[in-house]
Formats: sequence, C-alpha cells, structure tokens
Amino acid sequence: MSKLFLTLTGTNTISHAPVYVEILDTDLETVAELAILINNKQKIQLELGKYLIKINLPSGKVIKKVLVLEGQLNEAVLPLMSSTNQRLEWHEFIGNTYNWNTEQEISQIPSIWQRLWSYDKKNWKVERWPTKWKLTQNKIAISFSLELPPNQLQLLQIGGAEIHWRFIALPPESNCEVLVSPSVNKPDFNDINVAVTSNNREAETLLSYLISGNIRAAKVVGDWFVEKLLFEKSFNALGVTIGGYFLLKLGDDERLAKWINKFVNLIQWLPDISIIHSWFLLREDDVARVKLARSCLLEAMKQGIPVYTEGMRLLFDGLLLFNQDALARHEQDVEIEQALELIRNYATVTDWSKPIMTFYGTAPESLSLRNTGIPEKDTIGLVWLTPPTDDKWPLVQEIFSQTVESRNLSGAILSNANLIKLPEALASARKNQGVSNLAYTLSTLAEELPPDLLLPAVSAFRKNRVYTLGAFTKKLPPDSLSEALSAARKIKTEHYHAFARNAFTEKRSDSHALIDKLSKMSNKSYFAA
Amino acid sequence: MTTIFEKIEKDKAHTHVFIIGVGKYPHLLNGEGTKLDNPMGLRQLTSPPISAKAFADWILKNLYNPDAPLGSIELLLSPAGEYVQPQDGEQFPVEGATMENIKTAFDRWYNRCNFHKNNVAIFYFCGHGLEKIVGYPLLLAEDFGKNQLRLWENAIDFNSTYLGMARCQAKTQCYFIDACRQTPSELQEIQEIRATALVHPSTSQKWGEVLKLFATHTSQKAYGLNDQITRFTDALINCLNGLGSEKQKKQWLVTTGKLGLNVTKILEKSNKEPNTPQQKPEFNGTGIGIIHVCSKPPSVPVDIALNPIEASNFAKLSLFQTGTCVSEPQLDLSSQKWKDIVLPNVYSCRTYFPLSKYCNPEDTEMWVQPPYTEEEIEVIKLV
Repeated sequence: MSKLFLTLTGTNTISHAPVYVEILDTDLETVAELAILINNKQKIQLELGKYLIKINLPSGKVIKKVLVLEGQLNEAVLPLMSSTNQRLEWHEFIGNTYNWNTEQEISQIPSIWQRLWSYDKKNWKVERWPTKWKLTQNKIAISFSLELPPNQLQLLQIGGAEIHWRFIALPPESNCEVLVSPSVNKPDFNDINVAVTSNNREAETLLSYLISGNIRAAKVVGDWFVEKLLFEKSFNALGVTIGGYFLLKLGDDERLAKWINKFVNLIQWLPDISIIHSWFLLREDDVARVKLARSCLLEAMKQGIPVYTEGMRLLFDGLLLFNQDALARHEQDVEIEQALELIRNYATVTDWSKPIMTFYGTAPESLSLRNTGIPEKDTIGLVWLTPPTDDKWPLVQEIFSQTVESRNLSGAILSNANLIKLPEALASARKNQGVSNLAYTLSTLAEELPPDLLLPAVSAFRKNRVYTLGAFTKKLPPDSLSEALSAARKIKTEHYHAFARNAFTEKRSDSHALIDKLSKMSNKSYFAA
Repeated sequence: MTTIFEKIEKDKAHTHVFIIGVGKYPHLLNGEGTKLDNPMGLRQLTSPPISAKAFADWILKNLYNPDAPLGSIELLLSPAGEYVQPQDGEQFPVEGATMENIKTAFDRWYNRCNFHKNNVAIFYFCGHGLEKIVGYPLLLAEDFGKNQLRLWENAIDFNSTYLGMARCQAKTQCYFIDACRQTPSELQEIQEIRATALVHPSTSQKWGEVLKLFATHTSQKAYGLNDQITRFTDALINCLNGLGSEKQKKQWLVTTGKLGLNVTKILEKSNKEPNTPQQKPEFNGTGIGIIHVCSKPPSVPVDIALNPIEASNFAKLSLFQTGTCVSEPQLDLSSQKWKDIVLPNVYSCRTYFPLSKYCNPEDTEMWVQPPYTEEEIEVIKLV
C-alpha cells in the first residue's frame, strides 16, 4: 500500500469547502470516493499504480489529474480554480450562473431597486436596509453581502422600471451573498438573474451537489456533513435545513429520526423544518404519524414561506396528498383546502428553476407575475441597485443616507435609526433645528409620521423642494386632486403638498375629516395646540 | 391489445415497461376531429410515435437486468397501428393512446409492477405536455379536447400519478417524460385544472430508488425533427446503450443515479452544435437502482481539439494502447475537432505533423469514459 497526501488548493473564499473526489484505477473502476476540504491535506491509502483523480466541483466543472504512486509516500497539490474576481469566486464555485458574455451589462438596466421584508408575528413588513448602501460602480454584475438578524424569515424583494418584482428567500444564516446579473436566459431582454447564497461553505456545497443531480457527490459530502451535524453540539439553522433535505432525499430513515429528535424543537420558526418533519412522518403508513404529518404541514403554513424551493414543492405536494386523501374518503378537510388554495397561488408565481424560494409579487402576500415599476408604498427600506431614471429618487436616497450618517445628532432615540420612533424623537430633536428638520423630513418621506405631526414637520423644514418631494412620492388620485387643492389653499400654501399627500395618497378612510380639520384650523392655533 | 411483450416468472422480480407515444391529436390544430375552441397553438406531431417505437425496440432487443429481467411491455401509439417486433418480425396491433386505453394499460402495468418489491417500473411518455403550475406537468392523451366541458379529463396529471406510485411496491421506478413544459397564456387564466391521476396518491410516501427524467426544464420546449426520433429519446437510448453507465465490479451498469446525469451531459453537448435549439433536461434521481447491465463496454465518442486550432489542418492523430495503435481519429472540418468512437480505456494520443509545421513532443494520456471524452492538446508551432 502507498499513502497519498492530497491537497486541493484554493483562495480564502472557497477554503474549507468540501469537494467530492473520485479516484479511478486504470480499469476505470472507482477505487475511492471522498470529500476533501479545500486547503486541507487529506491522507488516502492506495495500491501502487496509476490513478485518475477526478475532482467534481459543485458547479459541475470536473478537474482531472493523473497521478502515479511509486513509493510509500506520495504528495500531490492540485490547484482548483482561479477567478478574475474574488468576490464572485464563491458563486462561481457553487455554480451560481451569471453572464459575462452577453452584451448587456447590469448597469444598462436602469432603476433596479431592492428592499428587505421580514416575517414577524405572522405578518410581513418592510425593514430598513441593514447597512449603509451606496450605488455600486460595477457594470457587469452587482455583488454584495447582507447581514441578517438570527432566527427570522427574511425576503429580498427586487424589481425595477422594467423588471418584474420578485421575492427571494434569504438563507437562514447571519450572512449571505447576493449576486445580481443580467439574465442568462434572456440576454437581449431587460431581465435579471438573482443568486443568493450564504457563506456556510459546507452546507452550500452539499446543496449545490443536490441541485445539480450529482447524487453520488451529494452522498459522499452529505454523509460526512450529516455525521458532524448530528454529533456536534453547535449547529446553525442553514446546515440543519440542508442536512434535513439531504436525508429526506436519500430516504435515510435512521438518521432522519435522529435529525428530528435533535432539531425540530430547537428551530421552531423555519417552515422548512416542519415540512421535512412532515415528510419524514409520511414515510410510514401509520395513522398517528400521518395525523402528526398533517399538523406539521399546517404549522409550516403559519411559519411563513419555506426558504428552499424543495420545501415549497414538498409543502404543495403534501397538501395535495392530504386533500386527495380526504376526497377519497368523501370527506372535506377545510383547513387543508384553505392551505392548499393559498399555496396553489404561490405555486403559480414561483420560479421553480431556482433552488432558493423565488416568487413574484408586489408584497409577500400579494402575488402577481407581471408587476413592474417603482414602489409607491413602503419605500422606507428601498435602495437602488442601478441609478433611477426618475430624478426625484436620488434626492430621497441622499436624504436617507444623510440621516443614517447623522443618527447620533438627535440623541438616544434617533441613535437606533428606527424611523418608526421618529415622532417620539421630535421633542428632543426640536432643540436642534437641523436635526428636527432632518427628522421631520425623513419621517414624512418614510411615511411613518402620524397625520397630526405632518404640518409641524413641514413647517419645521421649509425647504420646499424636500417636502414637495415627500408629498409627490405618492400620486394623488385624480378625483381627489381638486378637492385637495381647494382645501390646501385655505391653509398655508407650503403645507399643501404634505397635507395633500397624507390626506389623499394614502387613500385614508378619514381623508375628508382630515381635510375639514386642516382647512378650518389656523397654523397658529394648531401649533399652539 | 397493447401488451407487446409478457413473460413473467412467478415470485420473481421483473422490469415492467409502459410506453406511450402520442402524435395524433384529432381535436388540436390540423386534427381530423372536432376542433377545440382554443387549441393553445398545439398541433399534430410526428416524432412521438417514432420515438416511442424506438424506445420499445431498444427495450425488447437490449434490456438486460439479471435481478429484474424484462417482464412486460405495454405500448400505446397515436396514430394506432402495428408494432413489428425487431427480433422476429412478429406484428402486434397497437391501440391508440386515448385516455381510456391509457387507464386500462396503466392498470395492467401497475398491477404487474406492484406484484414484487424488487420489480423495476419504467414509464415513458412522448407527446404534448403543458404546465399550468410550473413543475407540475400535464401530459395530453390522443383525445385531449374531445369534450370541451371536461377539457382536462383526457390529460394525465403527472405529479399526482407520480405521488400515487408511492403505493406501488416496485422498489426501482423510472419516469421518462419527453414533452414540452410550457405554460400557454390561456392556462394562466384557468383557476384550477383537474387532470386525471392514473393512480390516486395516498398519504404513505415511502420511496425506493427513483428517477424522474424530463426532456426539458420547466417552462421550456422539448425538440424533435419531423419524422425523426426526438433529441431526448435519442440521448436516452444512447445512455441506456451504455453512455449512461459506469463500471462497477467489471460490469457497465446503467443506474438511476447516473442515467439522468449523463442524458443531461449529452444534450448539453449537442446544444453547442450550430443551429441547435437549447434543451436542458431536468432530472431528479436518487440512489443506485440498476436499470440495465450492458452486455459489452459502451462505445464512447471522443472529441480532440488542438491548440492552436490552425494546427488541426496539418496534424494526424493516433490512439495507442500499450504501444499498439488502436484507432485514428478523423478531423471534422466544420468543428475543426478530431473525432472518434472508442471503447472506454486509457489511451495515449500521439499527434504527428508530417509537414513539421508544429510538434507535440509528448503523447497525451486520455482516460476515455462515458458519456463522452473531450481533450485539448497544446502543440508547439515550429518557426
């Protein structure tokens, strides 16, 4: 026997990712299959002779090298890949497609925006963008990192003037990498491809092997990965999820049972976990298990949207099974029917070709395949990926940016940069004219200011351009315009835009009452009050 | 009669095959029957019956699985006609692929498959396919559109049928779906489609080794030239013939894990040829369920490119094994690649330049394996 010390080398970006390596003898039979961590030396025992080392990267690329083992000790160092752009290397490694060859660059598609949504207490809401955002200078593809709060479902929404609005579930990890590039499939058309991945090298590599259909590779890498997962004390939700899907795919009941026992109660917020649990239970025809499987699916519905497309498929299929099962017994399962109806709507707007859940809509619960344009509501967390064509937006962007920078000026409340709390901050902020102006304006723009604070906000910040901007970020319904004008003339002209915006553009049910109130009151008495 | 082969030994595992090829659609464009009000642009096809027959031919002539020898073949073709056995020329009348006939043949196939837990079940469909919900194919029977009031009763709900097959004992199951998967705009307006599940799913979902192999990705088209076998079925048969195999214990085995991967590789390679529409199969295969044991090593296509490419015009290539020349690749002028078909093995490729404009001082070692081998050899230009 001979010892081979094999090292696969790569940059830091892909370091310690597991790679599936096959070793063939000259009869073309596989004599060894193993997962080798990049930049780790791996010992392999082989007979003396000639071998073909096949390194199967998760991207599908195969690197081959012939080695001849002649003595007791042999060492080989094989470089894996070299990317011209380190930032994109990880995406390239796991096979996220992007398009360098098309004549279209991402910078040629104007007005692409994005924002974050989170799921909390059974509701979806727009979040502030978590970091300071600057328009990228990259022309070909846009790549950026995102820091995410733990234990919460998050969606990235991306749209544009001509780009259909889509949601992409974010991996259950504290960090993820996003790559936005012109669509590979339709290079001549203004469409984009969005790839999201975490930095969890082991789990993402396993996922890539699973998606590419290289089940042998997935099995070798996955066996090693799941052993660690099941026996180590620490864990992360992403690894648990991918490990669960892997075990389910393999039908490995024994280890799935261990997985269920260890993780189901620890990760109660992630629908994917409940879905995997349900399908594990369905693997045996036992009344109690089937009943619990049904509960798990309904629980997943309450937890939000599965992060992985495989989860959505299993959820949909699972609900179909229970619905048909009820129909076969000439019964009606109302809960299942309602859930199925909802998931069927998601199914029709889901991009099933993506590994991570991607679907189209204006809001996570308002689904639509063909919505384009710029959002008019919930613009609080909106940031631009490519420059907007509409000149009002750069100013909004600038104001938001300034406010983030000046977050310390107004004291404790503003310091958490939570715009919802801005009205509370006004009392302390008034002492500092500059800060109050900024706060008021920002609040107005962010649509978080209660109506009764709108007028003082406008008064405090007299730069017409800014509050006009805030007002006109919404469109007035045509039938309300004349009424708004009439009412606005009765009060100070400069209040018009903000007032009109608040009264009409939000389609408030109490618009008329508000007009009356504002029309009748004088600014003086109002401020006094 | 649609059972073109049946040979079952009691208490033994077998491979049971169900083949459907639908080209004639009387209620679609250019059909002979009452036209559907909105045929969604779907017309008559010529490739599916040819492809289905070719698949049946291959199964009858070649399928060899000692653990599950061929037990039966159900064949439905539209237009209906005769099937001539490739081995002995025996003729069989074959029924049309109407929904009624599909159900009847399916029941026979299912019951046979369900008879033994080590059975291998193979389902093949070639014809029109649609998707209302992406990823959930509807396969159209010959009489699709016969009744406008119950339009979808003559379409197979493939996903439900597949889930229903979890009830079947057969440990290894393969589904080959050679059909388009597009969503016509007309479908988007329909709230719910109730197509026919050939077996109703139950809540018990214990699966063995499964391969679901679709000719194309969701929302995409599957292609075939008129009166010829489709691209997918051609690749599928080539892979069953050995290009989808791997060597294990001196045998070349076609498995559920390898077949989908290699059909995909072959079609992706042909996508690079000029004037070829892009078609990327989608597959979902688990495990190592054996479908076929090759009776001999497969013949593997080899493409060799010289770098720089201009050197090709001056070169002569030979493949050597243990010092003996075993083959001489030929230059394909259109691609400027040297092509050959050889048995899987380790070869030395020697490049000569009779006019001495280039040289390659060392032979290049080539490990030829299915589904194909591509090699680039760098040569030196002599000044």
